[in-house]
Amino acid sequence: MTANTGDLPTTHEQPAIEAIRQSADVAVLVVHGQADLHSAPELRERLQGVIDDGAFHVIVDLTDVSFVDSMTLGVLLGGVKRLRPQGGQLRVVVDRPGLRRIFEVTLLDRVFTLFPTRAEALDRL
Amino acid sequence: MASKGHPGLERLERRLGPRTRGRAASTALGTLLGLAGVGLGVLLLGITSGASYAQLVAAVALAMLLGGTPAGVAATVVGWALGAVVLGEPRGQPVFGDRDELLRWATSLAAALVVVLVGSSMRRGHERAAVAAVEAERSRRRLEAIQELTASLSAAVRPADVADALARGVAEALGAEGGAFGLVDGDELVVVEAGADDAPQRAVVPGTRVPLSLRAPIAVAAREGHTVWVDRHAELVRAFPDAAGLAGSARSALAVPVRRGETVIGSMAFAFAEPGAVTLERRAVATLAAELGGQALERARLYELERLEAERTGRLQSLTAALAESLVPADVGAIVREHGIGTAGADAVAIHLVSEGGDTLLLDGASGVDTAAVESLERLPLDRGGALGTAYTRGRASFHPSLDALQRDDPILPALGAEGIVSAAIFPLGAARRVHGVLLLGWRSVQSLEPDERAFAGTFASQCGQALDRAIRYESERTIAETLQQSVLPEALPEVDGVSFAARYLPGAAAVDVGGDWYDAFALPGGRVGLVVGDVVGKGVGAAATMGQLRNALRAFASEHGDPGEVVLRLSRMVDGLPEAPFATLVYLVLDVRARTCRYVVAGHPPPLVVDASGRAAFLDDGKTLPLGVDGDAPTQAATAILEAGATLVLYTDGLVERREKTLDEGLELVRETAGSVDAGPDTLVDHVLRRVFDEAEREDDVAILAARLEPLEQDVLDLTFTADRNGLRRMRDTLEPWLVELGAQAEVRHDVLLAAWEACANAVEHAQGPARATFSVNAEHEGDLVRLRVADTGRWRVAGGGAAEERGLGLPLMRGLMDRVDVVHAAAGTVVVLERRLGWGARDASGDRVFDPSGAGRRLP
Repeated sequence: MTANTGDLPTTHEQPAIEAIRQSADVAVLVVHGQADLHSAPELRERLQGVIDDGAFHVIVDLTDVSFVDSMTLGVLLGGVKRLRPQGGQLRVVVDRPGLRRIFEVTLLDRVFTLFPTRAEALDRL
Repeated sequence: MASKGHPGLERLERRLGPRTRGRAASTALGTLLGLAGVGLGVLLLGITSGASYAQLVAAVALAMLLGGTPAGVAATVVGWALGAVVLGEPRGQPVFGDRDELLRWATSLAAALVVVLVGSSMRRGHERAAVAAVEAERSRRRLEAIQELTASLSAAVRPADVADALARGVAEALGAEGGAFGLVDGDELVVVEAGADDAPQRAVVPGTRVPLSLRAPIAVAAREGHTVWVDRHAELVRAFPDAAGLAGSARSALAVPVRRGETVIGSMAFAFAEPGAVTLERRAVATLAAELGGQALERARLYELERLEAERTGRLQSLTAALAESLVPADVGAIVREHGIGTAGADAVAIHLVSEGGDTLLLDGASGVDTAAVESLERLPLDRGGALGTAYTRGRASFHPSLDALQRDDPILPALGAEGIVSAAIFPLGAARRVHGVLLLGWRSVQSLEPDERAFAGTFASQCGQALDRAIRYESERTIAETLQQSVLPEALPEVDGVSFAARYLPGAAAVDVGGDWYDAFALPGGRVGLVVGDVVGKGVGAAATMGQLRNALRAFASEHGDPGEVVLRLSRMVDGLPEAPFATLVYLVLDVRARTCRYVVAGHPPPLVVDASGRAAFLDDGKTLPLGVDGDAPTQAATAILEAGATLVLYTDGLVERREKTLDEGLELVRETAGSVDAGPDTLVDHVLRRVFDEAEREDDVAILAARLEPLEQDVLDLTFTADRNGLRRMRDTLEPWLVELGAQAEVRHDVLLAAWEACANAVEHAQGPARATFSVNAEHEGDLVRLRVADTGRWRVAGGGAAEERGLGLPLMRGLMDRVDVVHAAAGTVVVLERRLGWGARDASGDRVFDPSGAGRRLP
């Protein structure tokens, strides 16, 4: 990554991630557009940020995402490892079958809990 | 005077010379004095009246003694008659007056007697000197003749020259009318030379054979071994009645035996026109000449033998040289037939070889004969016997100066008779204990087949037999080796999608040895192909057998181990374990057709050549290890090469690149250059290379060559290069998606393929750390509904590690989860990722959920 991050500021599109503080211990990160190696550093930062801010559970909403690559998956996996020692959860909202398959083929659907909608993800927290 | 320089002779001549010149004068003076003495004697008789007749006779005898010559005797007789008359006429009238007068007369007579005595003695001395001079002259001439004879005998190198020198030279030395020289041959005497000038002697012509029992001096001398001579014609006719006609007008004859050592080998005879000519001296001269002649004959015989031997050796050498170049039985047969006439001097040659069943001799070929005439010789069953069959079964030669000794029902007799052959020699053809056939030499003129001739013909046949044996063994070994070689070479090259093969094996041309070169190509699991070209050091059956072992072992190891380094290492260990570790070189290359990569090991072998679609040709210079059989534990590390679509791999043996007159580099360069200039399939390429390389030089060694060509890109193939950055990634995705749509890929499948491609390209971008404008290439093709992507970059993947390991490590599992097959190939030049996925064309299995499989095998869940 280090070699290619240099050109990101100039070519990056609209801010792709918005963070919503749902409650004291639940934060939602809504990702837009493409979640790929170019956006992965930002996602990592934001995830770090909400956890540092005290979020116990984090919901990553990928409903508006058309593309997820392995780097994004890697960032999400990093988030799980931060939350899990404290008993926190990282839930992923994904409804497109294509994206869902990405989690399935990498067996990450057993690591993250997948939900088709954000409402369902928030439901039983 | 023809002086031969003998000092004694010269002295004699000097002494005799002046006396000889004064001989006539002294003879005349002696005669005159003698006559005067006679006259005085007669007068004395007349005076001495009363002398008795006895006194008168004594006086006449004295006068004759004084005169001593026929003329003197005649003069004495006349003087005596005159004295008688004088005595009768003046009877009564005394002639001498008184005693004083008588005393004066007596004194005068005494003085006259002294004069006569002195004169006579002088004349006799002169006469003796003259006779001695004549004799000396004769001796000198004989000496000269003997010297000449000795010289001509020394110069005579052939027995015929010796015979000529003897017959003529000795006759001359002896002063004979003619001479003859004969050699003993059994119980006959062959007149070799007859030197004579007069017509009757011509009756004895060279070549005449007379029995030793002939009653002629020449035969007796030869028969009894001592000198024979007669001095008178009557005696000659009486003692040697058979010689009368031979010797013609001869009055004396002399014959001496000629010996070699103690053995009488011939005799010489000489005829003389005058009786009593056979003096002691002549006999001595003849004996000496016979001795010299015997020695000269022996010398000439030895020389002749030597010359004949040298000539035969020379002829045998030409045979040996011709045979050395023939390694095929048919060639040997042709040479034997040719040399049987040219070298062995036969008129006809026939070669029979034993049939495969071993029960019949089959005519292999004949020369110097009419084909139709020898038809009866075509097949000679061994159980019919005959001279040929016996020679074969007993393995022994037989010689037939005359064919009479052959059995009357011998199957070869009709053909020999038809061909006019009268003498024959028959030899078994082969080497020790391996007789392959029979050689027949035939002559149309009677041959005595002397021991030396038999030995020569025997040597000839033995050489031919050994060459034939060699050729037959060589051929059978070659047949076995060829069979082995054929069994080692694959019957057919494998059929593998995406690659086409061509292979050739050419046996060595100059040397007809079968070499240990082989090639092999076989399909391996996972769309891979194993390619082998190897060379076992050595020729013939042994090398071919080793080759078979290596080939089979390599195939076995290759089916168990994917890595060529591992395969060759095992092969090397196996070779080390063989009882007589062979020495072999080889290239083993595993071609991944879909990935367009190969891994290879070069064990002491010329490097494989890669020719790309645009004709660039380069050798694969890595992956080198020691030849097999050197060190079974030598490190063996395979190298990897990335190939382009349309590239051709060429594997070959050293026979293609090694030239006597060129360096190895030149040979390699010629192959590289030639291969690069061909834009065609592997078959054409291989043929072109072989033609070009062997157009310049005769092929000596055998050659194996194997070519594999990756199929060139089709029309509907994507082959693009992108900059290794974010834009390059995007453009890749933007290009690939419509291509997949075009192929009819469903959205879900498109997503999977694009994501996998993205992951592969993301790696490429991440690795592109080197040059400023690094690139990666994507190459997409399909076979039916199978889509294959090749992503190649110019870097090497870093091993995942460090804090962000989990972030980076998901790429490969993700690709494996999404695709049917993922291969990652690292080579020196960069990394290639090959991705395959069946599109399913919408009929995708509903239960086709894929799972993350850390092993990367991409199994579906049950």
